[in-house]
Amino acid sequence: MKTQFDERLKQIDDDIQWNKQRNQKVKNEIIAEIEKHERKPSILKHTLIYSSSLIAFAIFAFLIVVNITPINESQRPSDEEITNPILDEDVMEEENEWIESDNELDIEDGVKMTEDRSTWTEEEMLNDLSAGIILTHRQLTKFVEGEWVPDYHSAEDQQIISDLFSYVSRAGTAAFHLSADNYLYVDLMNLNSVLGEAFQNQDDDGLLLAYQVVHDLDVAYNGFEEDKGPFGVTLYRDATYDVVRTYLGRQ
Amino acid sequence: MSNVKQQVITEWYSQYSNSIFSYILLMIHEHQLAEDLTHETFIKAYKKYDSFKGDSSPKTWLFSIARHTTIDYVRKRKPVSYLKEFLSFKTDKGPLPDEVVQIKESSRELFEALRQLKKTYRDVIILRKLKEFSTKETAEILNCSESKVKSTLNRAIPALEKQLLKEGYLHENSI
Repeated sequence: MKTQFDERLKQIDDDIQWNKQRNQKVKNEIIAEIEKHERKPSILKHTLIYSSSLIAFAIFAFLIVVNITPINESQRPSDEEITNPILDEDVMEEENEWIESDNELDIEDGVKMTEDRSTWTEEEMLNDLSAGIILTHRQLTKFVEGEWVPDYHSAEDQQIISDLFSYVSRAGTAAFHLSADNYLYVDLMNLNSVLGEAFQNQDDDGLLLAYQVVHDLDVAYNGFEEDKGPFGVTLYRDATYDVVRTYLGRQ
Repeated sequence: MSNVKQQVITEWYSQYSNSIFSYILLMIHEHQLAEDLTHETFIKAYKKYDSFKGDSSPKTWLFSIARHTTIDYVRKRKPVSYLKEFLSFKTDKGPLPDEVVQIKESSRELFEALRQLKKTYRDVIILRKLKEFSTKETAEILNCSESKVKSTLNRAIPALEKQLLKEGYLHENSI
């Protein structure tokens, strides 16, 4: 049964009116683009026939010339190979540039926590909230995908664990100061507790649960992934909340 | 076949373009961008037309494309700006330009309150209450389970009412 509030909500949709002329303009643009798209295959077909005829003719002419011209005995394939070294270098350079630019993207994408928090501005808090979730998600994704197998004792892993606590704590503090979303703050605090419990008990299942929580947060607040994950459909909060409480012994 | 495809897309545009446009506008609050993404939605529908098997209604299918198109666009933005959209800090609350879209005064308060909600809540309210999709259709568009739609809606409505109270648009005894 519809409530009065439902009626008010429905009314919003009726009250948003897109200018008819603008609507028509977009329609015309779509039709033009579709027609352009449909013309492409036939143009391509004609171009293909024309160019293949040209190539066939060129090959035919080349064969005739080769048959007529006497072969120079001193000319060897190895001589031909070095006729244009500059071109090869160019190609190599281009390939290297591609590889370098790929690496740059992998290593440096600008996601980092604020270093100097003496003046922690709203902008920096927003950054730390987002970056904290992203960096935690990245590290725990490595765990889920088998790239990081924590032994919980090595100095390297202790550092990683310490970093994870730092990311989540700072993101949580930022959420608190920004009064962003009470659920977000609670989720981040719970995430910190789950991580603490998992590390203390050296429990991989706990880390997996922490991953699930941070994965959901990444979907909900950063929107980087489909609303799906290794767990099938991500059930943000609804799926993890009770599990988290149980894991922390609160139920 | 191509002409048939073009004809169907044109018909769908006449039927659903307004609704698709307002859906995108409610998600991103940028009228110019909403127009561009509406355009892109119908172009994608044309290109993917052969994959439409008719398992869902054309409207549900188009809304699903519109949602993915919008999300894809937003993902390409920097994370901080995306987060800002969610948290809606220092957002421009000025009127939308009349030449593109008009929102009646009676709905502006709810429109503003909706934009303050978090994305998951907003998605479900828009689809279930504004667009009046069924729970099953909403689940198809959002690519999630029906139970998630129900539970999210149960949380989303009180959150919206709370937002209206906070902004002084609603009195406690009127809920």
